Amino acid sequence: MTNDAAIFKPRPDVRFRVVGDEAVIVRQEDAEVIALNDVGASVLSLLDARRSVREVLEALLEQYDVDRESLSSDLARFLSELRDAGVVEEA
Amino acid sequence: MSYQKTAVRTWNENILFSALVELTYRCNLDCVFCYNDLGLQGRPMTLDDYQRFFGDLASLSCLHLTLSGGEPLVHPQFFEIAAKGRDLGFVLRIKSNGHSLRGRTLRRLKEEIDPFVVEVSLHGASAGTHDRQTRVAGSFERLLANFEEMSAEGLRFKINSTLTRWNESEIEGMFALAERFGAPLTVDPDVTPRDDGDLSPLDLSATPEGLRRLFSYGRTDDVVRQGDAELPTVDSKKHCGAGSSGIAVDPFGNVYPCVQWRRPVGNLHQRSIRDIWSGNAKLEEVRRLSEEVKRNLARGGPGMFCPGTAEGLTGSPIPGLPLHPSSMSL
Repeated sequence: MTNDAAIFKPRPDVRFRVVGDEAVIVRQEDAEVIALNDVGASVLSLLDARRSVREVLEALLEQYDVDRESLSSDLARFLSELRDAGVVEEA
Repeated sequence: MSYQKTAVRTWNENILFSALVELTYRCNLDCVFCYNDLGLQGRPMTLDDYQRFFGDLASLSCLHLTLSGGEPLVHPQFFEIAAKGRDLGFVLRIKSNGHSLRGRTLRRLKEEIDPFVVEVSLHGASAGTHDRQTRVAGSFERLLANFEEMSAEGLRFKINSTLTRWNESEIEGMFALAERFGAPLTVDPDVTPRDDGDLSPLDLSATPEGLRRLFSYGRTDDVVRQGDAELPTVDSKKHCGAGSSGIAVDPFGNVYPCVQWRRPVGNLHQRSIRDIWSGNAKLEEVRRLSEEVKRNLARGGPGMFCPGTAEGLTGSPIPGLPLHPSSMSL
Protein backbone atom coordinates (compact mmCIF):
# COMPACT_ATOMS: atom_id res chain seq x y z
CA MET A 1 0.00 0.00 0.00
CA THR A 2 1.40 3.40 -0.96
CA ASN A 3 1.45 6.11 1.64
CA ASP A 4 -0.18 9.33 0.34
CA ALA A 5 2.57 11.37 1.93
CA ALA A 6 5.34 9.38 0.31
CA ILE A 7 7.57 11.16 -2.16
CA PHE A 8 9.08 9.34 -5.11
CA LYS A 9 11.92 10.11 -7.46
CA PRO A 10 13.63 8.31 -10.34
CA ARG A 11 16.46 6.05 -9.23
CA PRO A 12 19.96 7.47 -9.85
CA ASP A 13 20.69 5.20 -12.81
CA VAL A 14 17.42 6.07 -14.56
CA ARG A 15 17.41 8.43 -17.53
CA PHE A 16 14.22 9.35 -19.32
CA ARG A 17 12.65 11.73 -21.76
CA VAL A 18 9.04 12.42 -22.63
CA VAL A 19 8.78 12.13 -26.40
CA GLY A 20 5.47 13.55 -27.48
CA ASP A 21 2.97 11.71 -25.31
CA GLU A 22 5.24 8.80 -24.46
CA ALA A 23 8.13 8.32 -22.06
CA VAL A 24 11.30 6.43 -22.87
CA ILE A 25 13.17 5.21 -19.82
CA VAL A 26 16.67 3.78 -19.77
CA ARG A 27 17.79 1.89 -16.69
CA GLN A 28 21.52 2.17 -17.05
CA GLU A 29 22.49 -0.55 -14.56
CA ASP A 30 20.74 -3.26 -16.53
CA ALA A 31 20.81 -1.55 -19.94
CA GLU A 32 17.04 -1.90 -19.98
CA VAL A 33 14.72 0.31 -22.01
CA ILE A 34 11.13 0.81 -20.93
CA ALA A 35 8.49 2.77 -22.80
CA LEU A 36 5.42 4.24 -21.12
CA ASN A 37 2.18 5.51 -22.62
CA ASP A 38 0.87 9.04 -22.18
CA VAL A 39 -0.57 8.52 -18.71
CA GLY A 40 2.58 6.76 -17.52
CA ALA A 41 4.67 9.60 -18.96
CA SER A 42 2.55 12.13 -17.07
CA VAL A 43 3.00 10.29 -13.79
CA LEU A 44 6.74 9.86 -14.26
CA SER A 45 7.17 13.55 -15.02
CA LEU A 46 5.49 14.37 -11.71
CA LEU A 47 7.78 12.13 -9.63
CA ASP A 48 10.34 14.84 -9.04
CA ALA A 49 11.44 14.25 -5.44
CA ARG A 50 9.23 17.18 -4.36
CA ARG A 51 5.57 16.20 -4.84
CA SER A 52 3.92 13.70 -2.51
CA VAL A 53 1.74 10.93 -3.90
CA ARG A 54 -1.26 13.00 -2.83
CA GLU A 55 0.00 15.99 -4.81
CA VAL A 56 0.69 13.79 -7.82
CA LEU A 57 -2.89 12.54 -7.61
CA GLU A 58 -4.24 16.10 -7.49
CA ALA A 59 -2.16 17.08 -10.52
CA LEU A 60 -3.40 14.08 -12.47
CA LEU A 61 -7.02 14.82 -11.57
CA GLU A 62 -6.57 18.19 -13.26
CA GLN A 63 -5.29 16.51 -16.41
CA TYR A 64 -7.63 13.54 -16.74
CA ASP A 65 -11.40 13.23 -16.54
CA VAL A 66 -11.58 10.30 -14.15
CA ASP A 67 -12.98 9.76 -10.67
CA ARG A 68 -10.66 10.19 -7.71
CA GLU A 69 -11.09 6.70 -6.32
CA SER A 70 -10.23 4.91 -9.54
CA LEU A 71 -7.28 7.15 -10.24
CA SER A 72 -5.96 6.78 -6.71
CA SER A 73 -6.10 3.01 -6.99
CA ASP A 74 -4.47 3.01 -10.45
CA LEU A 75 -1.76 5.40 -9.29
CA ALA A 76 -0.89 3.23 -6.29
CA ARG A 77 -0.66 0.16 -8.49
CA PHE A 78 1.45 1.99 -11.09
CA LEU A 79 3.86 3.35 -8.49
CA SER A 80 4.27 -0.14 -7.13
CA GLU A 81 5.06 -1.41 -10.63
CA LEU A 82 7.57 1.38 -11.24
CA ARG A 83 9.27 0.62 -7.95
CA ASP A 84 9.41 -3.11 -8.68
CA ALA A 85 10.84 -2.35 -12.12
CA GLY A 86 13.65 -0.35 -10.54
CA VAL A 87 12.53 2.93 -12.09
CA VAL A 88 11.64 4.92 -8.96
CA GLU A 89 12.43 4.91 -5.27
CA GLU A 90 11.18 6.81 -2.25
CA ALA A 91 12.96 10.14 -1.84
CA MET B 1 4.22 1.42 -26.44
CA SER B 2 7.53 -0.18 -27.34
CA TYR B 3 10.91 1.50 -27.68
CA GLN B 4 10.94 0.35 -31.30
CA LYS B 5 7.79 2.35 -31.98
CA THR B 6 9.25 5.37 -30.26
CA ALA B 7 12.36 5.04 -32.42
CA VAL B 8 10.20 4.90 -35.55
CA ARG B 9 8.42 7.98 -34.37
CA THR B 10 11.65 9.95 -33.90
CA TRP B 11 12.69 9.14 -37.47
CA ASN B 12 9.32 9.82 -39.04
CA GLU B 13 8.44 12.93 -37.05
CA ASN B 14 11.95 14.43 -36.98
CA ILE B 15 12.30 14.30 -33.21
CA LEU B 16 15.90 14.99 -32.22
CA PHE B 17 16.71 12.00 -30.04
CA SER B 18 20.44 11.45 -30.38
CA ALA B 19 23.44 13.77 -30.64
CA LEU B 20 27.10 12.95 -31.15
CA VAL B 21 29.43 15.74 -30.06
CA GLU B 22 33.08 15.84 -31.07
CA LEU B 23 34.67 17.83 -28.24
CA THR B 24 38.17 18.10 -29.71
CA TYR B 25 40.30 16.73 -32.51
CA ARG B 26 43.32 16.49 -30.24
CA CYS B 27 44.32 12.94 -29.41
CA ASN B 28 46.96 11.05 -27.47
CA LEU B 29 47.19 8.45 -30.24
CA ASP B 30 47.90 8.99 -33.93
CA CYS B 31 45.83 6.42 -35.81
CA VAL B 32 46.84 5.91 -39.42
CA PHE B 33 43.28 6.00 -40.76
CA CYS B 34 41.77 8.63 -38.44
CA TYR B 35 38.84 10.28 -40.23
CA ASN B 36 38.97 13.63 -38.41
CA ASP B 37 39.68 16.74 -40.46
CA LEU B 38 42.66 17.94 -38.43
CA GLY B 39 42.99 21.07 -40.56
CA LEU B 40 39.46 22.26 -39.80
CA GLN B 41 39.47 25.65 -38.13
CA GLY B 42 36.93 27.71 -36.24
CA ARG B 43 35.99 29.04 -32.84
CA PRO B 44 35.90 26.18 -30.35
CA MET B 45 32.75 25.66 -28.32
CA THR B 46 33.09 26.89 -24.74
CA LEU B 47 31.68 25.41 -21.56
CA ASP B 48 28.88 28.00 -21.67
CA ASP B 49 28.16 27.09 -25.30
CA TYR B 50 27.83 23.43 -24.32
CA GLN B 51 25.61 24.35 -21.37
CA ARG B 52 23.19 26.17 -23.69
CA PHE B 53 23.39 23.51 -26.38
CA PHE B 54 22.77 20.61 -23.99
CA GLY B 55 19.90 22.49 -22.37
CA ASP B 56 18.30 22.98 -25.77
CA LEU B 57 18.84 19.32 -26.64
CA ALA B 58 17.15 18.21 -23.43
CA SER B 59 14.19 20.50 -24.04
CA LEU B 60 13.86 18.98 -27.52
CA SER B 61 13.50 15.51 -25.91
CA CYS B 62 16.96 14.38 -26.96
CA LEU B 63 17.88 11.40 -24.77
CA HIS B 64 21.16 10.04 -26.16
CA LEU B 65 24.34 12.13 -25.97
CA THR B 66 27.65 10.76 -27.20
CA LEU B 67 30.90 12.58 -26.44
CA SER B 68 33.55 11.81 -29.00
CA GLY B 69 36.63 13.34 -30.60
CA GLY B 70 39.55 13.12 -31.33
CA GLU B 71 39.95 11.82 -27.84
CA PRO B 72 37.28 13.49 -25.69
CA LEU B 73 39.15 12.85 -22.45
CA VAL B 74 42.03 15.12 -23.49
CA HIS B 75 39.68 18.11 -23.72
CA PRO B 76 40.76 20.28 -20.76
CA GLN B 77 37.15 20.69 -19.63
CA PHE B 78 35.95 17.18 -20.40
CA PHE B 79 34.67 16.49 -16.89
CA GLU B 80 32.81 19.81 -16.63
CA ILE B 81 31.17 19.27 -20.03
CA ALA B 82 30.28 15.64 -19.35
CA ALA B 83 28.88 16.57 -15.92
CA LYS B 84 26.50 19.02 -17.58
CA GLY B 85 25.30 16.16 -19.79
CA ARG B 86 24.84 13.95 -16.75
CA ASP B 87 22.98 16.65 -14.81
CA LEU B 88 20.58 17.17 -17.72
CA GLY B 89 19.64 13.49 -17.68
CA PHE B 90 21.15 12.28 -20.94
CA VAL B 91 22.07 8.69 -21.57
CA LEU B 92 25.77 9.41 -21.95
CA ARG B 93 28.13 7.49 -24.17
CA ILE B 94 31.83 8.26 -24.32
CA LYS B 95 33.83 7.22 -27.38
CA SER B 96 37.45 6.93 -26.30
CA ASN B 97 40.67 5.28 -27.37
CA GLY B 98 41.00 4.11 -23.76
CA HIS B 99 44.60 5.30 -23.47
CA SER B 100 43.97 7.48 -20.41
CA LEU B 101 41.20 5.38 -18.83
CA ARG B 102 43.19 4.45 -15.75
CA GLY B 103 43.83 5.62 -12.21
CA ARG B 104 42.25 8.90 -11.15
CA THR B 105 40.79 9.66 -14.58
CA LEU B 106 38.97 6.34 -14.61
CA ARG B 107 37.66 6.77 -11.08
CA ARG B 108 36.50 10.32 -11.80
CA LEU B 109 34.69 9.11 -14.91
CA LYS B 110 32.89 6.40 -12.95
CA GLU B 111 32.07 8.53 -9.91
CA GLU B 112 31.42 11.96 -11.41
CA ILE B 113 29.96 11.13 -14.81
CA ASP B 114 28.65 7.55 -14.59
CA PRO B 115 28.23 7.15 -18.35
CA PHE B 116 25.83 4.57 -19.71
CA VAL B 117 28.73 3.07 -21.61
CA VAL B 118 32.27 3.89 -22.71
CA GLU B 119 33.07 2.71 -26.22
CA VAL B 120 36.76 1.94 -26.54
CA SER B 121 38.70 1.39 -29.77
CA LEU B 122 40.69 -1.78 -30.31
CA HIS B 123 42.94 -2.03 -33.38
CA GLY B 124 44.11 -5.61 -33.27
CA ALA B 125 44.70 -8.63 -31.12
CA SER B 126 48.46 -8.12 -30.92
CA ALA B 127 50.77 -5.30 -29.95
CA GLY B 128 52.34 -5.40 -33.39
CA THR B 129 49.07 -4.66 -35.17
CA HIS B 130 47.44 -2.37 -32.61
CA ASP B 131 50.52 -0.20 -32.12
CA ARG B 132 51.16 -0.10 -35.87
CA GLN B 133 47.71 1.45 -36.37
CA THR B 134 47.85 3.82 -33.38
CA ARG B 135 51.48 4.74 -34.09
CA VAL B 136 52.14 4.80 -30.35
CA ALA B 137 54.45 2.12 -29.03
CA GLY B 138 53.09 0.34 -25.98
CA SER B 139 49.49 1.45 -26.57
CA PHE B 140 48.23 -2.15 -26.83
CA GLU B 141 49.74 -3.34 -23.56
CA ARG B 142 48.51 -0.18 -21.86
CA LEU B 143 45.00 -0.70 -23.24
CA LEU B 144 44.86 -4.26 -21.94
CA ALA B 145 45.95 -3.06 -18.50
CA ASN B 146 43.30 -0.33 -18.69
CA PHE B 147 40.64 -2.90 -19.64
CA GLU B 148 41.55 -4.83 -16.47
CA GLU B 149 41.22 -1.67 -14.40
CA MET B 150 37.95 -0.66 -16.06
CA SER B 151 36.48 -4.10 -15.35
CA ALA B 152 37.63 -3.95 -11.73
CA GLU B 153 36.17 -0.47 -11.35
CA GLY B 154 32.80 -1.64 -12.71
CA LEU B 155 32.79 0.75 -15.65
CA ARG B 156 30.37 -0.36 -18.35
CA PHE B 157 32.35 -0.53 -21.58
CA LYS B 158 32.17 -2.00 -25.03
CA ILE B 159 34.85 -2.38 -27.63
CA ASN B 160 34.75 -1.00 -31.17
CA SER B 161 37.06 -1.97 -33.97
CA THR B 162 37.39 -0.99 -37.60
CA LEU B 163 38.35 -3.83 -39.89
CA THR B 164 41.54 -3.04 -41.81
CA ARG B 165 43.89 -5.02 -44.00
CA TRP B 166 46.34 -4.96 -41.09
CA ASN B 167 44.01 -6.47 -38.48
CA GLU B 168 41.69 -8.61 -40.62
CA SER B 169 43.71 -11.74 -39.82
CA GLU B 170 43.14 -11.13 -36.08
CA ILE B 171 39.33 -11.07 -36.01
CA GLU B 172 39.07 -14.20 -33.89
CA GLY B 173 41.71 -12.88 -31.52
CA MET B 174 39.90 -9.57 -31.08
CA PHE B 175 36.64 -11.34 -30.23
CA ALA B 176 38.54 -13.54 -27.78
CA LEU B 177 40.03 -10.46 -26.13
CA ALA B 178 36.60 -8.86 -25.82
CA GLU B 179 35.25 -12.04 -24.30
CA ARG B 180 38.13 -12.11 -21.82
CA PHE B 181 37.06 -8.71 -20.52
CA GLY B 182 33.34 -9.47 -20.72
CA ALA B 183 32.77 -6.63 -23.17
CA PRO B 184 30.82 -6.76 -26.42
CA LEU B 185 32.84 -6.11 -29.58
CA THR B 186 31.40 -4.29 -32.57
CA VAL B 187 33.32 -4.35 -35.84
CA ASP B 188 32.89 -1.67 -38.48
CA PRO B 189 33.77 -3.23 -41.84
CA ASP B 190 34.54 0.11 -43.47
CA VAL B 191 37.48 2.43 -43.25
CA THR B 192 36.06 5.80 -44.26
CA PRO B 193 37.59 8.79 -46.04
CA ARG B 194 38.92 11.63 -43.95
CA ASP B 195 36.33 14.32 -43.30
CA ASP B 196 38.31 16.72 -45.52
CA GLY B 197 37.73 14.37 -48.47
CA ASP B 198 41.18 12.78 -48.35
CA LEU B 199 40.77 9.21 -49.55
CA SER B 200 44.16 7.95 -48.35
CA PRO B 201 42.74 6.14 -45.27
CA LEU B 202 40.98 3.81 -47.72
CA ASP B 203 44.37 2.33 -48.60
CA LEU B 204 43.99 0.49 -45.30
CA SER B 205 40.54 -0.92 -46.17
CA ALA B 206 40.04 -4.60 -45.49
CA THR B 207 40.52 -6.94 -48.42
CA PRO B 208 37.56 -8.88 -49.87
CA GLU B 209 39.02 -11.93 -48.15
CA GLY B 210 39.10 -10.05 -44.85
CA LEU B 211 35.47 -9.00 -45.22
CA ARG B 212 34.44 -12.55 -46.06
CA ARG B 213 36.36 -13.70 -43.02
CA LEU B 214 34.50 -11.24 -40.81
CA PHE B 215 31.08 -12.12 -42.16
CA SER B 216 31.75 -15.84 -42.12
CA TYR B 217 32.80 -15.66 -38.49
CA GLY B 218 29.16 -15.94 -37.57
CA ARG B 219 29.07 -12.66 -35.66
CA THR B 220 27.18 -10.52 -38.16
CA ASP B 221 25.15 -8.97 -35.34
CA ASP B 222 28.42 -7.44 -34.19
CA VAL B 223 29.12 -5.82 -37.55
CA VAL B 224 27.88 -2.26 -37.42
CA ARG B 225 28.88 0.87 -39.22
CA GLN B 226 29.71 3.85 -37.06
CA GLY B 227 26.55 5.87 -37.55
CA ASP B 228 24.21 2.91 -37.16
CA ALA B 229 24.56 2.08 -33.52
CA GLU B 230 22.36 4.62 -31.78
CA LEU B 231 18.98 3.20 -32.62
CA PRO B 232 17.63 -0.19 -33.57
CA THR B 233 16.64 -0.84 -37.16
CA VAL B 234 13.23 0.71 -37.60
CA ASP B 235 10.39 0.39 -40.03
CA SER B 236 10.46 3.82 -41.58
CA LYS B 237 10.23 5.39 -44.99
CA LYS B 238 13.71 6.75 -44.29
CA HIS B 239 16.95 4.81 -44.69
CA CYS B 240 18.45 6.08 -41.42
CA GLY B 241 17.98 8.64 -38.70
CA ALA B 242 20.67 11.02 -39.98
CA GLY B 243 19.26 14.53 -39.70
CA SER B 244 15.86 13.12 -38.69
CA SER B 245 16.48 11.87 -35.17
CA GLY B 246 20.22 12.43 -34.89
CA ILE B 247 22.93 14.97 -35.44
CA ALA B 248 26.69 15.32 -35.05
CA VAL B 249 28.54 18.44 -33.95
CA ASP B 250 32.24 19.18 -34.44
CA PRO B 251 34.45 21.07 -31.93
CA PHE B 252 33.71 24.38 -33.67
CA GLY B 253 29.94 24.13 -33.45
CA ASN B 254 29.28 22.96 -37.00
CA VAL B 255 26.22 20.72 -37.11
CA TYR B 256 25.95 17.73 -39.47
CA PRO B 257 23.20 15.16 -40.05
CA CYS B 258 25.48 12.38 -38.77
CA VAL B 259 29.10 11.72 -37.89
CA GLN B 260 29.43 10.03 -41.29
CA TRP B 261 27.42 12.57 -43.29
CA ARG B 262 29.58 15.69 -43.12
CA ARG B 263 27.22 18.08 -44.89
CA PRO B 264 27.03 21.19 -42.66
CA VAL B 265 23.48 22.24 -41.82
CA GLY B 266 24.25 25.07 -39.39
CA ASN B 267 26.61 26.38 -36.73
CA LEU B 268 25.83 26.65 -33.03
CA HIS B 269 27.75 29.94 -32.70
CA GLN B 270 25.25 31.50 -35.08
CA ARG B 271 21.98 29.71 -34.31
CA SER B 272 20.68 27.53 -31.52
CA ILE B 273 20.02 23.88 -32.23
CA ARG B 274 16.31 24.68 -31.86
CA ASP B 275 16.56 27.07 -34.80
CA ILE B 276 18.77 24.76 -36.82
CA TRP B 277 16.49 21.79 -36.24
CA SER B 278 13.25 23.34 -37.44
CA GLY B 279 12.54 24.97 -40.76
CA ASN B 280 16.00 24.21 -42.11
CA ALA B 281 16.11 23.66 -45.87
CA LYS B 282 19.42 21.81 -45.66
CA LEU B 283 18.06 19.34 -43.13
CA GLU B 284 14.85 18.96 -45.13
CA GLU B 285 17.01 18.01 -48.10
CA VAL B 286 18.86 15.39 -46.03
CA ARG B 287 15.54 13.94 -44.85
CA ARG B 288 14.26 13.83 -48.42
CA LEU B 289 17.46 12.15 -49.57
CA SER B 290 17.14 9.57 -46.80
CA GLU B 291 13.74 8.60 -48.20
CA GLU B 292 15.16 8.46 -51.72
CA VAL B 293 17.99 6.21 -50.53
CA LYS B 294 15.46 3.88 -48.94
CA ARG B 295 13.40 3.69 -52.12
CA ASN B 296 16.46 3.03 -54.27
CA LEU B 297 17.76 0.33 -51.97
CA ALA B 298 14.37 -1.36 -52.05
CA ARG B 299 14.93 -1.84 -55.78
CA GLY B 300 18.14 -3.74 -55.06
CA GLY B 301 21.51 -2.64 -53.82
CA PRO B 302 24.09 -3.27 -51.17
CA GLY B 303 22.60 -4.60 -47.94
CA MET B 304 24.63 -2.25 -45.80
CA PHE B 305 24.75 1.26 -47.13
CA CYS B 306 25.72 4.59 -45.61
CA PRO B 307 24.58 7.65 -47.56
CA GLY B 308 27.08 9.83 -45.70
CA THR B 309 30.03 7.67 -46.67
CA ALA B 310 28.66 7.41 -50.20
CA GLU B 311 28.49 11.20 -50.48
CA GLY B 312 32.07 11.47 -49.21
CA LEU B 313 33.25 8.94 -51.79
CA THR B 314 31.18 9.79 -54.83
CA GLY B 315 29.61 13.18 -54.21
CA SER B 316 26.14 11.64 -54.02
CA PRO B 317 24.39 9.90 -51.13
CA ILE B 318 22.16 7.94 -53.50
CA PRO B 319 23.04 4.28 -54.09
CA GLY B 320 23.66 3.14 -57.60
CA LEU B 321 26.80 5.14 -58.14
CA PRO B 322 30.17 3.39 -57.98
CA LEU B 323 31.18 2.78 -54.40
CA HIS B 324 34.46 1.80 -52.91
CA PRO B 325 35.26 -1.85 -53.73
CA SER B 326 34.88 -2.97 -50.12
CA SER B 327 31.35 -1.57 -49.95
CA MET B 328 30.48 -3.15 -53.28
CA SER B 329 31.59 -6.53 -52.06
CA LEU B 330 29.05 -6.39 -49.24
